[in-house]
Amino acid sequence: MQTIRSQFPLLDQSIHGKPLIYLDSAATSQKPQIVIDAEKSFYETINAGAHRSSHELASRATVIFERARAQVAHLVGAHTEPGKEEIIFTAGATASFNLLANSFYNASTPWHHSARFALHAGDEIVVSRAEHHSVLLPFQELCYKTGATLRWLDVDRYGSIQSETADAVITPKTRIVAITGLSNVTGALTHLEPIIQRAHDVGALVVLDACQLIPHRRVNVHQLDVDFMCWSAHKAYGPSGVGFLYGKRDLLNELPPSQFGGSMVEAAWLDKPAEYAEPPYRFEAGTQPLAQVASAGIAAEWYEKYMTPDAITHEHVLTTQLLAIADISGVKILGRSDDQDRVGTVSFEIEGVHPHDVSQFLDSYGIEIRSGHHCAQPIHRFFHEYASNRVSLGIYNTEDEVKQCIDAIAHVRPYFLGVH
Amino acid sequence: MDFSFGFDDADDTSMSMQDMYQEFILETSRFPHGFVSQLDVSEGALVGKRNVSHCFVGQSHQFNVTCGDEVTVEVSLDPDTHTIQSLEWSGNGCAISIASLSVLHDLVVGKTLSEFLELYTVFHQLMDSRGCGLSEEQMNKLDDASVFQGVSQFPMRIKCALLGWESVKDALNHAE
Ligand SMILES: Cc1ncc(COP(=O)(O)O)c(C=O)c1O
Repeated sequence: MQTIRSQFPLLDQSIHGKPLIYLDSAATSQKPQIVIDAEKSFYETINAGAHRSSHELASRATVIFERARAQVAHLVGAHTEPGKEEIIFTAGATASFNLLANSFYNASTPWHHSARFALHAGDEIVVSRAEHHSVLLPFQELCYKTGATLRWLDVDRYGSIQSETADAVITPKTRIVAITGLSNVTGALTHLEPIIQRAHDVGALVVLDACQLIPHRRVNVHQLDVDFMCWSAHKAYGPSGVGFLYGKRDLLNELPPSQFGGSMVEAAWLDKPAEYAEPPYRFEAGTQPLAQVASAGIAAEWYEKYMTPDAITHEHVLTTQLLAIADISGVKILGRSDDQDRVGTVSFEIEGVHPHDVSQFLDSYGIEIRSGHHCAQPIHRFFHEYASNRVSLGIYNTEDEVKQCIDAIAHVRPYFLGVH
Repeated sequence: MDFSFGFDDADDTSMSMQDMYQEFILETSRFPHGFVSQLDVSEGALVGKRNVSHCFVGQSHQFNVTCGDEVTVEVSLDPDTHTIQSLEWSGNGCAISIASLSVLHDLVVGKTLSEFLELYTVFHQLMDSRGCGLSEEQMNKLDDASVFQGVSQFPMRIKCALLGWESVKDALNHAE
């Protein structure tokens, strides 16, 4: 454990004179030294126009860029052989979802028409009530633009997605199912198998939001059999500014481009349409965030090494410990208060105290947690809350940190309400 | 590693949560003045018209997207003397925004529109003071609202203290 924690320089500092306790990893994780060094070293030694210029430096930058693609592919079990690549670099998960939704939209126009992806009035897209806005909104927009209808899987009283309703909600009209593997609010793991199974039975494509899943569980895309998967590097100990889109290779081969510009085209003319490049390049228009991609590759490798069964057990122990906040008077957890099918992302409400005040109070102890709606308003509305407090664990947190957090939470109501 | 973004926690000791959450603020937030659980919708329909005591009624609904603070303020303004006859509000928010609304209620009822606007400007100056406060004369003018001095050290919270002020100003605009 210590060998992991000591790799994170940021954690070794004080906030308001107190040792920093970082419990907001679901918003963004901290970075191990090697990830920071990789980005710096790229700028200091390699930086050049990858896939563009032909000098030695650019060729090194290209090697590193493609090595990062292989490192990320390895983490999730995607293909990486030249000509079979299945990982596309984006600016982040949000950009990945928008890329996909745009490509589906382009496939629905006569210009880029592709029957595999084209949407029409009468088609349906299924999401869930627990989705992050970055899943909900691109697919809702796609519905508005194509005349398709948005449907959603509902949640049970804990706010967990009801996978057992998949057969009813996902029908032969369903073309796309876009769903999270792990809720950023309730911390609930989705039972994906019945959803993926049903989607494929009716011929729908599955888009998995793995933003929160990847930082807590090992994922193998081929075993899971998802068609597309989106996630961000920054929540899984990697740099900001980079995200990923995994797509099954045969689907990527057919998917029209989303953004247009340099490096995504084989041949461009003034007087006739362009011939676009093969994947993954067709989806990587413009100069890429090279240093960040290089460091994202190192982060994937780092994560693969340290994300062991022991690390998962450690988080589980801390999660169980953290869930004791449910016993504090006035505290209500949004989600399951037992450790079943969940990770250490715990949102809660403290009766009578606004989340803004809660996080400010904890901040004065050096404890950094999130308050707000966590970009997931529909699920908050389900809980009849506008906003909540959220503690989220990372691979580096300790039992002592969780204990201090619980102690501080127990002081919130006495402080603000004068009650005990 | 010579470069630094210039934050040093050692310089930070002056910034204390207790400065912001003054006992007066906490107590006021528990039992705020002027609060009504729901504003009468039919009264809302009077907006821009005269109420029974011939005052003009104005309402304003303000919403803070980041934290979800939501407040509806209703004021009535005497058309002859331009004094604020009443101020009621409903909604929910953090301790700072609630206490600020309560203090506003006590401070501005009975004041004229131009007196309010002057206080509004002074309160904004207080929020811009980075914890330093204003001259004694100006602090006296603000009366109880001067207890929000500590909030001005917390840039993320200034808008909580201002929520009520913006709402009242907007509601008065509608009452004019
Ligand atoms: C569940 C979930 N999906 C999607 C996103 C979007 O990720 P990003 O903001 O990195 O694009 C986030 C985080 O913000 C998330 O928690």
